Amino acid sequence: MKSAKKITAVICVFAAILAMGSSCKKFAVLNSDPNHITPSEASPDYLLSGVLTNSASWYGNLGSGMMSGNMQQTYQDAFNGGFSQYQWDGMDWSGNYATLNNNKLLLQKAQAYGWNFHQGVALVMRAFNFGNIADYWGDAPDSAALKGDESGLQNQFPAFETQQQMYADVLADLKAAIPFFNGTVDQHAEITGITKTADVIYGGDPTLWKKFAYSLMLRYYMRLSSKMNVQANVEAIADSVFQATSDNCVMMLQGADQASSYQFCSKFNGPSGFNRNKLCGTLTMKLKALNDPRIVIMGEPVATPSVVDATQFAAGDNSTLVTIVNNVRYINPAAAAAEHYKQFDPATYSQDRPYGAQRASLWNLYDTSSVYVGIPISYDTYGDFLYNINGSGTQSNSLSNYVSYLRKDIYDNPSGPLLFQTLATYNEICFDLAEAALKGWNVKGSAQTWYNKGIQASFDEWQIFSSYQNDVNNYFGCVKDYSTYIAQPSVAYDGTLQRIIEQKWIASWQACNEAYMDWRRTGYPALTIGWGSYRAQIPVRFAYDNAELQSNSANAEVAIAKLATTPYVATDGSNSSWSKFWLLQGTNKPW
Amino acid sequence: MPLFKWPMLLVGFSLFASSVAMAQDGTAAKKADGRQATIVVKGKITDGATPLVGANITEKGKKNSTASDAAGNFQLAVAGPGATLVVTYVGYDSVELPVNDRILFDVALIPAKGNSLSGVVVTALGITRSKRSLGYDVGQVNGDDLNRVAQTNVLNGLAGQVSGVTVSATGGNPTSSVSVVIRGTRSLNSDNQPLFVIDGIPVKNSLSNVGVNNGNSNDVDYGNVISDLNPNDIESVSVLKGPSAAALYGSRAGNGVVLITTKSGKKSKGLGVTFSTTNELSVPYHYFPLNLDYTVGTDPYTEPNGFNSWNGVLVDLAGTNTYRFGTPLNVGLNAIQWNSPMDGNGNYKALPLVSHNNLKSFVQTGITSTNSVSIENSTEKDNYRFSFTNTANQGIIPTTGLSRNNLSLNIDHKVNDAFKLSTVINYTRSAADNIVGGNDGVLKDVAYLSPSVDVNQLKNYWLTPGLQQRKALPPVGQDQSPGALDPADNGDNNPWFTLNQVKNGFVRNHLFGNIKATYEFSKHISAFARYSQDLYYENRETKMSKSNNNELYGYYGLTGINNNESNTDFLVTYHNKFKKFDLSASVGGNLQYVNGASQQVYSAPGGGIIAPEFFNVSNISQANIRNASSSYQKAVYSTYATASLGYEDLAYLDVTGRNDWSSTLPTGNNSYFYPSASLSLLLNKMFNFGRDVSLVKIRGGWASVGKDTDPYNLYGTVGIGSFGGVVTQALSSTLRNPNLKPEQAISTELGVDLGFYNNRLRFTGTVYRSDNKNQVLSISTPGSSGYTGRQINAGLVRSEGIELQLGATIINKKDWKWDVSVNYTKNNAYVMSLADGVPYFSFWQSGPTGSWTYAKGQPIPNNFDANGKQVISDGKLGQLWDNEMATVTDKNSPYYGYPLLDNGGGFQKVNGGNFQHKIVAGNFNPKLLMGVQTSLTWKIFTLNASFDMRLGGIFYSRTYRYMQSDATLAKQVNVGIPIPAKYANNIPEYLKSNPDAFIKVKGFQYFHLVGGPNAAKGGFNYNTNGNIYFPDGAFYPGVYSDGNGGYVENLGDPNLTKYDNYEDAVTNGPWSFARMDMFDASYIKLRELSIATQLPKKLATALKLQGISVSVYTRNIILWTKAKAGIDPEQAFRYQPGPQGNGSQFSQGVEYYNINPWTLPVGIKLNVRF
Repeated sequence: MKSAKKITAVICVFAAILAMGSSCKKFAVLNSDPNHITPSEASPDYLLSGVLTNSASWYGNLGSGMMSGNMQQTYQDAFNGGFSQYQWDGMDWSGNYATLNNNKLLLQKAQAYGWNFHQGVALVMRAFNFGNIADYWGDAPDSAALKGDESGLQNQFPAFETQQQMYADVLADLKAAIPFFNGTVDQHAEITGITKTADVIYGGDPTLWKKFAYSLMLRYYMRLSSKMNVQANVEAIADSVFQATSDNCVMMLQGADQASSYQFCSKFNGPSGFNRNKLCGTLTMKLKALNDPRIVIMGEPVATPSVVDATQFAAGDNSTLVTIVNNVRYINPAAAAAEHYKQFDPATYSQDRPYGAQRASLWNLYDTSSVYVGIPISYDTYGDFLYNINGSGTQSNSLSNYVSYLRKDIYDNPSGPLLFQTLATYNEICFDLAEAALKGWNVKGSAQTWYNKGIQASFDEWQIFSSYQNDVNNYFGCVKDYSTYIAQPSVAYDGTLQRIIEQKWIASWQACNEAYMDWRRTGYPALTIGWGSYRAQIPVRFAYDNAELQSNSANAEVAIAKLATTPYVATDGSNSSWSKFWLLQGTNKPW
Repeated sequence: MPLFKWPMLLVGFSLFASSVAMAQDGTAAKKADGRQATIVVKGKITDGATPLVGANITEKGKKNSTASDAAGNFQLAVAGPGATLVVTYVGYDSVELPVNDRILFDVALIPAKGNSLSGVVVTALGITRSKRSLGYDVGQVNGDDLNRVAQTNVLNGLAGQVSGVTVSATGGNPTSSVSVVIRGTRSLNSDNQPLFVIDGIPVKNSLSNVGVNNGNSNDVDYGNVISDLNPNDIESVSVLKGPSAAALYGSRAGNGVVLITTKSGKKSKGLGVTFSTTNELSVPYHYFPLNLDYTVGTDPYTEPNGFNSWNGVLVDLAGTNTYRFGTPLNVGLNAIQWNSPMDGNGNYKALPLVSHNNLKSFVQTGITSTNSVSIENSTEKDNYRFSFTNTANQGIIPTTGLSRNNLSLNIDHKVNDAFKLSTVINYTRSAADNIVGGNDGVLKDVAYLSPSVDVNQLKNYWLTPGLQQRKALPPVGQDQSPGALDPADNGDNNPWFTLNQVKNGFVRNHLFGNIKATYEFSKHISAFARYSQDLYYENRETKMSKSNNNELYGYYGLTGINNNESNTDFLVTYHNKFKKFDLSASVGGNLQYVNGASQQVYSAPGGGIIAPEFFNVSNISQANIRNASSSYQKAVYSTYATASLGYEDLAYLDVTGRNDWSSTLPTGNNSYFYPSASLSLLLNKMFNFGRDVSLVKIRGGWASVGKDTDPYNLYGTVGIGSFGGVVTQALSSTLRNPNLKPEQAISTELGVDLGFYNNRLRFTGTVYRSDNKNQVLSISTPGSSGYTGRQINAGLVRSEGIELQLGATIINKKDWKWDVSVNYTKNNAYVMSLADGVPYFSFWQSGPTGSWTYAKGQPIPNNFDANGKQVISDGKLGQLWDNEMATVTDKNSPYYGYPLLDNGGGFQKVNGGNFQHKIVAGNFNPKLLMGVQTSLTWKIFTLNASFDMRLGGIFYSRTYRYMQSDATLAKQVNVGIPIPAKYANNIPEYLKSNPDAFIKVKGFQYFHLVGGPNAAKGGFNYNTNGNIYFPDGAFYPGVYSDGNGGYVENLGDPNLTKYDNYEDAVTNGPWSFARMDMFDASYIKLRELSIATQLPKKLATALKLQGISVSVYTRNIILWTKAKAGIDPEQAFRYQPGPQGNGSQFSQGVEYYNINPWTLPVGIKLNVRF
């Protein structure tokens, strides 16, 4: 009995201890992720906002960033290898494909739900994103892409499509998208308040999306115009594209955090990014030559203007280079000559600081021509912040009293009326149609008409003769109204493609993607490079990035083999930013 | 053989005392059988706690002997009261006990010093085994060996002690994580840390302790949780290295198991109170070598000029630049400086420009004080030990340190002879006020401060309290235009500001413990049930004041983390002897449940706080407040069985089997079984090797171990985010795998244990191989597939190696004893195969380098051997890669092998340095690791020393890469090739006279440069800024293309050579090539040196004490590094908030700002038993 009791007690203790382990839980419950939702729980509206914001951010940041430097509108005077010196490394496209992957889910869901508007937007964004990939990289996975979740090696390692086929797919998607936008907002039950908020570009307006789809078609027809005959295609859609600047495809910046703010504003990342980003001499000199008022919204006048004036220096003094009196800096011409300095002149720039020359033989340049001073392209490999005899600049702070920053009250802000990510504009359409008209195509207007409309649209976009009229009036170096501007011989339409593209280039301020595509296609504007350039020419494509080369090398090698190398690839091998892909092969453009 | 006498018996005072006490108990039973001429004595042999099986008991000078049984009991007939018992047991000091009138002997043997060859070890599930019966190698460290010197993280004490175990401090702070890797990398998807089991309680430990969302440029390593363990409470550590040893622990034991047994109560005379105090000073003595010759600036000094002057007076540009080639220091120049006073006319006074080694003056002597008290006793029924330990550490960086309180309680209660209850409870509170950020920490601020500035004069770090820190900036603009520089836009952080106003604190409350009931059903069957829990809550708080360069508006963040693991297990053991066989068999089961969660509230990057110096969540605006939370749980249910069969103490066979069911694997495929077997043969019992041979054992083991995965690895997810105020959803970029299978590791090991001259010479050798299949790997996938990563089940990783340990008791006399032990480890891991289409596995990539491995047999793209044949990978893990430098490849050219320079005279990468064109620069794994321990005893003094040597392997220093680019390194002051005077006008001839030394580049830090920062150091006259010619020209020797397939010499001919200024050449040149910043990682460290003494008992008794001991020690002194880079190669780890390729937050083989000064610690330890 006693022993039985003892055993019972022992069993109770054992049982109590084992009971602490609690009962078995269902494995399926334990392993259901409490931190995320599943793809089946995702909402088309929120997928759509993700696709739009990602697409617009990538494209817009490129347009106001690297492409703006590349097209010599802005300049980064420190850590500027990829920006102003053309030292391009491979570019990673995994973000673009991630956006496309979400877009794929959006399209699948929209199809399943029968939501027309969402299907249309998904098709347009698929075209837009694949178009970007074809434009910048060339051949790339397209029909074989985005299938990583399916089994089979062909899905895990997508084959590359030809660039030509990719463009065909882009146009097919855009055409397919059009019918989904038929009808007004009210006829689309799927467009709810959430949809309107999610559509950060057009607020859920199908008619604007339809115009954007047509405008992208026009963009791509013009892109392909040197490789194929697209006259009929262009003529067919010339009526359906953007009609006014209010149709522009832009995403206003929100300024809530770095991602939703103007990329160079100092608020979230400190002042270095803003301070390093200055005007480029190529653009400022052009604007000065055209008395162009748009410069007032672009740049900040230099803090201390410079003047060449020998009278400020003792006779025979050829060693004191500068002196500052009443916040004007005087440059001693005798000392300047003795110390190998001369005034920046775009016409002689490529002789003054020729690419490849020994440093000791270079002229050092200064610019006293205006209160707006830009840095000449690829001025130096290191000391750009010293440009214009700047003594205060260093690589770490890039401060300069003698070079123009971007206009601080506009661009040193997270958001503002002029801060948006631009995907496509009415002015681009006008210039496209001007070019088409110049070719003799029927686009319901002459080249001159569309050219003038394009310039007008650009002035409107930047509120030059509205919000900024006062600044225009106060700047002596520009015309004060549109008609005076357009009447100038240097501006007035002269029947050349060069003039159209030059104005299109100026109008692409802060959105230089298309300017780059146009330059590549036409060679305009004629851009030179400087001493500090990485190679003797401006690059023409993004090289495939390591990330893809590493994990999809066999397919990438097939595409790389199709690239035409040029003398400028140097030690890069074929996958170079100086190799030409299909779109450029045989065109002799841009160089 | 006069040297090798019968070992002197060294019986510790405590044992001696307890034996005496027991002897008195024993006399109570005397004269039970007084009639016989012989008497039968009985007793039990233990190691103090656990019975020792098979101990040999003989009567001295006679032939009668016996062995202790499974319960440690013995019985022996001896001649009479005059007899003396000799108790011997391999691995323990022998004891001689005069019988006198006693018949009952309870003998607690003490392990032999420095003898880890034999003896009793704790094995899986806490089963104590005689080491000779094991078919696998178990490393062992005594608590005493861990406690001779104080360690804030107990893992550091394991360094160099056990072969096959690599211990690396990942950083120089007392709270830095410490990595323990057993037998090398086996898993590609984890940090390879072993499972820690303390008194049967699995305790969480990982290398991923880096805070996320901690504010910009503020990566903080909060240290591994295992550091909460108090070294003073440790009785012994067993390291189960191979899967054969660890198989019973299941899936988590794939990287080995560290079994820690804490101290339990021992029989005490007197109060049973032990007080111990350790006080240690850590004196910094070696500082990272900085360029201290120049103040900051981009141009070398000639005369005051427009760039560094104000009204013709020199201005020190401190704070406006990071480049360190401005005005020379210590040459008698004066300049207006940041702290220049004004004279009566309102002009700033020029002060002497002198150099300061700020790293040296910034740090302080570290102090660590550990005080511990324990109370213990053991009676027939009860056995308890309670201890309290306080550790207070002040780091060598002011404001840093660690404070820790440990409470530990260990109780055994015998309800009756058969039923025993026990519990272990351990509570730790660890806290630090400030852990400095790693990658951009305060020492970087100090290192970057212009050497013209004395850091200690910046201690008053507020300019406007709460709003603007004071920085070392010139009081006048350095340009022609006057005006002070705005500190909001200029200058590096004031180090004192960073120290006091960028604070990362944490508090961790950690509780682990168990309750266990044991019942002996019969002599043969016993069982236990146990519930254990490991639980901690950690709260982290980060505060940054406004005007911090990295968060201009300040930052505030709170993080709460909790983790919990409970295990309920039981084990039933059967034990019996059948004639010559001895069988022990157990079956058991375990329910493991793990869960955890984290919550964060913090201010958005750049968002800041509202009111200055008020750190509260309410002080973050609604627009800038950010939240995050996550949780996880998993369960693993297991059953297992083990059997051990011994034959006559000469052969032992062990088999185990375990089945796990894990919640993390797909339903239907979540069960996995794994068996193991091992065999031990004692050849010395089978064959007669002569009396000098005391042990010849061969052993072998085989095991297969399964492994599950982390929770939620099966299905793809969608994340919810926002863009500004707009809600967004996006697919995870990593593809999950709903068909994951359990991983499988199959391992074999073979070994031999030898002992000679009564084990005075001991040898242990093990070779092993572990094949890890079906690893759940995160691999990179082409971005174009829509996903950048994927979870796959694939691959075969083979880890193989050899471990040798040699020990000798060289002197063993009455007053002298000298033991030496040497261990050697060599391990290699290979990727034998991966998935289809996946040729390589990448751990991390950084700048020009990275660590990835092509699977064995894969061709390495664009790598060719001397005969032009494609290089095929051997699959060895740990390679570091680099860009290939463009050189002249035409073998017929006179310039073959010369660098092919670009248009500007700079080095070029082949193919832009893309991934397909990289070459192997080296491997971060060591060629071999050796540890040497020695112990020398003279009378009451014992000297212990432990050395640790690593040979081979390399590391990549991001410190060097970045500091080099700012000319901050000491070596950059003068790296130009000196040109003899007679060649001054014919430099090309001189350079071509020895192209290998002057032109061709190879090895590490290899780039060649001709020229210098000034004429005295060989600088060429060079037009720097157009208006000023400086004698600071330099060039890289090589050739450049003439555009027509030919080459132009860039060798010093003034008409052909592309010069650059020295400052740029010496900073930009190395940027594209990792080998410029790679170093050999070989080192020798003195891990420990201590002299201890046990004061004479007479003295102790006079003081009314049971015992008193004192020791003096030093530890962890870097004796030699091959690289001489000023960086501890052991700390070649870089941490980042994001997971690296292997899922850990640490990248191995790369370091970033591990520039803590090297220290010389001196400690004294006093131990008193009342």
